[in-house]
Amino acid sequence: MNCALFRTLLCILLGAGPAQSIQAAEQGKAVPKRGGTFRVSFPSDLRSLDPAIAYDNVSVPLCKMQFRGLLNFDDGVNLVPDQAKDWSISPDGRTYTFHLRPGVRFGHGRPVEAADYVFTFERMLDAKLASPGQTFFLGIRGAAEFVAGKATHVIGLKAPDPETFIVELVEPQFTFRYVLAMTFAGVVPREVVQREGANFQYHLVGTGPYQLAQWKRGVRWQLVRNPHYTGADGNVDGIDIMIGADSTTATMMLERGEIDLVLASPADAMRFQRDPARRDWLLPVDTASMDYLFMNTEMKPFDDIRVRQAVRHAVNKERLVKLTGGFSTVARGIVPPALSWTNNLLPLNEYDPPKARALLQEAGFPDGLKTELSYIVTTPVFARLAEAVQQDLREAGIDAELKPLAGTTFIVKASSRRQIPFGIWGWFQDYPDPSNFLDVLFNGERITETDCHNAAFYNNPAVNRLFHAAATNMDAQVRTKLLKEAEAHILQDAPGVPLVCEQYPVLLNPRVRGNLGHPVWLLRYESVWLDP
Amino acid sequence: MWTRLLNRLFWSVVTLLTTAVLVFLLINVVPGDVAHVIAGPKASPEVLQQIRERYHLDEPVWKRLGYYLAQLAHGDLGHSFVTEEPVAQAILRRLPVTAALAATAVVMWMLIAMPLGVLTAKHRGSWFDRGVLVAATVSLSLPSFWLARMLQYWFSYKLGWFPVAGVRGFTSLLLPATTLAILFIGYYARLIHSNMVEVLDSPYVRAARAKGAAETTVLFKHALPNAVIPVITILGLDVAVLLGGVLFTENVFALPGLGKLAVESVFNLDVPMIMGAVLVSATAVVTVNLVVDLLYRWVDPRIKDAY
Repeated sequence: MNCALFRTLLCILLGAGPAQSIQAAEQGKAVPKRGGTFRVSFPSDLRSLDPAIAYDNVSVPLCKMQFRGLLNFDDGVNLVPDQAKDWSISPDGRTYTFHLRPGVRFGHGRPVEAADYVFTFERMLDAKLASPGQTFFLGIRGAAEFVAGKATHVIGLKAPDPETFIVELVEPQFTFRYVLAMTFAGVVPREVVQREGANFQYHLVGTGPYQLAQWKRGVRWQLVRNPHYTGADGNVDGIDIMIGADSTTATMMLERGEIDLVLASPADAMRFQRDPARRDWLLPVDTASMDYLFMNTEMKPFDDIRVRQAVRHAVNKERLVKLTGGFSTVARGIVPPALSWTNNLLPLNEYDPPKARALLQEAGFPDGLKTELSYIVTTPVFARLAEAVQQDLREAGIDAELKPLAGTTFIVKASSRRQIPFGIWGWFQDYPDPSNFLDVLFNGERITETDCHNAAFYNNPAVNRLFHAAATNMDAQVRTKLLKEAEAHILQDAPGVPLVCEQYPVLLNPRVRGNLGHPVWLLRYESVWLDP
Repeated sequence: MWTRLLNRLFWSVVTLLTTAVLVFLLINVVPGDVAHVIAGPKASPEVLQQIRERYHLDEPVWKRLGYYLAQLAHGDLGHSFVTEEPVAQAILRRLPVTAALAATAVVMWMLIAMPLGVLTAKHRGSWFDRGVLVAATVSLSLPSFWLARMLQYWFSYKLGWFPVAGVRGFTSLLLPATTLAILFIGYYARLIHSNMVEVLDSPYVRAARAKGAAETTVLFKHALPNAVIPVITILGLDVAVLLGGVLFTENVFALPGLGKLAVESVFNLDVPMIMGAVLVSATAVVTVNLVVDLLYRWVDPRIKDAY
């Protein structure tokens, strides 16, 4: 189904109302206008918009405005060349060759050369920078030696001429094409980075439609047009980012016309949704994310598959969606609907308390059981989900005591072995491939003592083999089959229960037009235009 | 006098050092891992390890404390773990906002509290005195976050008289300063009132009246300067606390002051930044205490004898 049509129908189904769809239809017809300043507000400061550092949902869309790379996504999750004229992958899946688009210049005027890409990738791999993006590029030939300090250059990165960039991988890796579209791969000018060193974050120069004009930490960021950008993106002349206003304050500012966009709290979003006069200020943005229950398969009582399956049948997912204010959809499986495929044949809801009780009895818990349900207290959606799940579980005979934890405490414990038996967590895609959910969250070969994303510590050798086969297979159809098989195994073993796919409730000043929401980038500020 | 001053300075340094050590140890008791804050919750084990090595996070607390104190001895507050910004630079950028807010608030509440205190003392027992007493009790009991939000809602959001939030010149400070002033006016009005009552009964005031001095002269020239002396100590301490950051007020009005910096740093487990904010706050308290002592000697020459 057409993506825009799907979103419009989704908005109607979720009660976003006809105003929303009318606005969307108008946006489709209207001709974008250039000019004006788009004003946004975020509650806390951004760590950095350096493409090697930015790695959160707020920073990445802003980073992408300044830094562009070889590939990008279209309005959906399909890859398209961005600053590459063309690209090819060798038949063995190990070599990626890019020819750069002529005329692409950095913000300071110099044309981009292939050597800049070599520098950009080596910079990100440099252990001294400790870039969170490093891990995605470790499949490049010679990357491991470079990271370990055993080589001064990465032999798998080549620039035979200024317009040709070649990346060689150790083994075929289907998802590497997506990695090249991440903001981590946004090209940086080597001489500026070498000159500025750690201060590059204050003197950002990229090839995107905008560039940093002013940065007052904790107060304000200001982006203006990059005069050397020749692409099609970028309608507004500048973007003002105000830092520090909490959700309530920012919403008041929006209503007073002092800012144009707020990432709304659920309470404010629901208030706007209920108000017919201002319902069209609300834009629920679909996200390629999934909130889920994880059950630590190495800890009692969740080492018993029957207990895990009982939990699966105890949870009423449709009720959870209502409790998020309608700003989510049921997660049928582990792969969210916003990705290239999702298994729509999976049941919407497996809520069946009698079956859950029977499974518990079979597992040796005829009188039910007691456990603790941990979650991050500062994430409002997790708190709501935890309370609702607790109620559902009680019906099935499971007494789950809620254990709210601070963000970092939860992350450290949940990613360490045998620390948290039962918890709620969420995953937002790094790139829109199903393996980014399935393989990352449930591959037993990725289990480590600490810092492990497989919070269920689920280890099924058959599933691990499917993951390995899918990772190195370059045939999209075969991969889909392998990953769907892996997903079916995981759902049957129930190390986790997918709960909901969240939507981002965004509040917009009515003067804002354009297709702002995007399944990968969340928000595309460069697509926004303003009514006079 | 100089011996006494040096003695005070020595103990001030000891106080600051003890504060630094205690706070450092307390922060490190908090469970959590700043590496996850720096690299994000999705970072790989390899990157997390690189970050831990870079910031010595995998070393024992006593060793990290040693590194920190050595750095402090060189006058270096270090760099933020999260933003890599020099801590001193971050604090210096935030301090003017907090200082301007505190100064505006102090001027506001003293300008109102002083005449209120004097007049209620002069007319003690009257309806005016009782009314001010009730108002003072109410203002003292108001929670700052509620008052700030109410003022913001009515005067910015509903009436549009002030910007809702942010730093946009002096007008941005008026509502936050009013919030603080309202919270303090009642207390200071009563403080000045009780001191004035005591002073108005003293022989030199009776003498001034007997000489035929005008009542305004008696109140504001003879009585008030003496009644204000004990108030200076408390005002000094309050100013020091305000300089440490006004958490709720700064937060509601999105003012990038020290309080907001401190809170953000705590959420991020950004040890160098938390330490910097605490040390600035502690230094403010210690310094103001010292200054108040010196001011005492100037305001009331009799106190010189104590030195």
